[in-house]
Amino acid sequence: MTFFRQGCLLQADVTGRCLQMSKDCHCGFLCLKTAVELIAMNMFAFLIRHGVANDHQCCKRMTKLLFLSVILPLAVYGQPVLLAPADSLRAPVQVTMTSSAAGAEVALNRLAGYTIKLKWQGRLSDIEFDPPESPQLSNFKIAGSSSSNWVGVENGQPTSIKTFEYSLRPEGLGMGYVEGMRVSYLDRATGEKHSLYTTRVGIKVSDPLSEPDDAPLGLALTLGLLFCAALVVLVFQLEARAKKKEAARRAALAVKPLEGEFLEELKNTVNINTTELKEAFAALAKLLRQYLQRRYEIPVQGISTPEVVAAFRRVANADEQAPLIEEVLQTCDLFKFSGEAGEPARLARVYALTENFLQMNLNRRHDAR
Amino acid sequence: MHVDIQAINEKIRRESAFVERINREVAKVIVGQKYMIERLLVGLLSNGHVLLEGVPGLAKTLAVKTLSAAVQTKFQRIQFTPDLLPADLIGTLIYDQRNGQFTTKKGPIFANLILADEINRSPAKVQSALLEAMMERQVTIGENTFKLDDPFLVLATQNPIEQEGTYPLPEAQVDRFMLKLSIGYPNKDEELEIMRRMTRGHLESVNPVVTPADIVKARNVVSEVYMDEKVERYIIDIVFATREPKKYGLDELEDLISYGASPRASIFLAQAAKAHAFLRGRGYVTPEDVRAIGLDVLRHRIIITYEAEAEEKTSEYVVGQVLSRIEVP
Repeated sequence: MTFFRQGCLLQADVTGRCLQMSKDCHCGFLCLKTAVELIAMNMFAFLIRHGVANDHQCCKRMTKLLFLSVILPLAVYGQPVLLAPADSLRAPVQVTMTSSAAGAEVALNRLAGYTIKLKWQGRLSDIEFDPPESPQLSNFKIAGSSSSNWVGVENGQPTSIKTFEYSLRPEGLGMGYVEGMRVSYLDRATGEKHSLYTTRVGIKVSDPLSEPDDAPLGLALTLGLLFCAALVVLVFQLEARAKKKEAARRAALAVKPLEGEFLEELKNTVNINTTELKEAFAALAKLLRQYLQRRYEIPVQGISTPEVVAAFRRVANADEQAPLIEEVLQTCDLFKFSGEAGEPARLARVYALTENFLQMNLNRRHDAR
Repeated sequence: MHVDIQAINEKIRRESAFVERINREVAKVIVGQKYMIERLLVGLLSNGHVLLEGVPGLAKTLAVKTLSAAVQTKFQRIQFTPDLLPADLIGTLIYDQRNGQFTTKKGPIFANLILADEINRSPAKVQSALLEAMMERQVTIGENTFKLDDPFLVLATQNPIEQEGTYPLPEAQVDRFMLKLSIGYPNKDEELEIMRRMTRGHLESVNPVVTPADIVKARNVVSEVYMDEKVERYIIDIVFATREPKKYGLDELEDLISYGASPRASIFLAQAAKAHAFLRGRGYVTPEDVRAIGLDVLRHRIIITYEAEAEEKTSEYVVGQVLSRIEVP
């Protein structure tokens, strides 16, 4: 019995393999025939090996063996194969393909959906699809892809749908395109390979949408950060200004004021008791012009006395001092250019006027501090 | 050298009193244009000819006529045309059939004040004849030489907008003019007054207030106006700055000036500055006088380069830069 059981199991295994083989190679009937032949050979070999005693026993055992190792597996596996029409009897599967975008327009910060749907009447296993090539994209990038199957009955006919879905991320504003794709498949029934082509699909990329949930928060955060930054900058600036002011005040205190400098120079360069009056007038005029240039930024180098006085009136806005300046410079001009020897009294006067002018300005600056 | 400036000043004040009278008389006819009248007087007093440039209708001819009437001088207006001949200007010899001899017929140039209108419309030979007379103050007709009257002043005009069919004065000839004035339009008030006067129907008459002899005397006084060495050096610095701008820190002018001012510029600048001081009643020249007259003396003496023309920089710009950058003594 043990041998018999082993033999049955062995035959069942062989039968099953043959049936599977018949399914895989899509030539069911021929394989089935081969399988039966193999089974018969194996049975006889088994019986011979194990020395079945007599014919009756042999027949009985053979019948049992045949039932267990052929009929039973056939019942389990073979029916679809046996029932399946012969190769020459099944029509080729008609696969239809559609491709579409989820919408004609997509925002820059959203994903666009692109779907390829393949539909045919029959079983899913009737068609074997090649892995689809990556779609050629313009202004998009693939963010994700997936595929799905659907099997059902439509109009009384078994129907299968295979779907390839792509998520596309826009790269920039404007039009984007999914170029035509090729989808190849094998019709298992006929063994023929076919290719289907999608058409080009255009999707417009528009301005990004606001993120409703995040927008208020994001804006508030940004404004808050900006405010804090502005506060920090303001504080720093105020501090720097205060420091600068303090430094300037200290520097002003430390350094001699301009008026002091010129008062000292006046004493050193103009001697009211000199006999070289002409040179003294010239030196005094030069000193006063230099002071006006440095204090009031009047370009005295290339302008005459009337022009200097006019510029002083404009710049200094000090009408009470303008006649003083005018008298000093014109008196100096008189003795510089007229050829006159000069009068000590006139020199003393213009010297005093210049000294008073400088001292007045010096006092004003001290008062201003 | 001690200069009795007080005496000079007094003399200047005395001798320049007629200037105010001239201005009053001229103002009866001419509205505004004080700048032009003053410069004409500078030319008259410093014995320098004046080139006037301005569009038509600015009273250039009227101003000269009026000035001539106020100074009681002989005035001649010569319209320069393309067919003018030198003989039409200076005169010619005319054969007298009665005595069978040639007699001299003097031309219109024998006057005190000559208005050479549109001097650039005549050919070069006519221009040369006039310019020679301007320099030499004499004219040769045939074998005889005739001295021109004193004062002799040529006031030439040029129209800056009509250049077709003209004979531009060569730079060497333009250099003979002491001053080149650029006459501008009057302001609104002045034009209103001009309009009223000219539509009144009659113009006021101008009375002579000074004689040619007074002018000659005034010229002698002008030459006595004191010019200090500082001012002389200032004039030299200005003229040299137009020749060697780099030495005076005017590097940017180096590429703009083709030829600087000639020594004639220094002479004329000094003379004109003295005349300007005289008109101000001063017996000495100040840098202010030099700066006031500098542009008129130098604008036609500086020849600018093509680069300057391309940059639309005129000789006036160059002179302005020089005057503003050279240190005033």
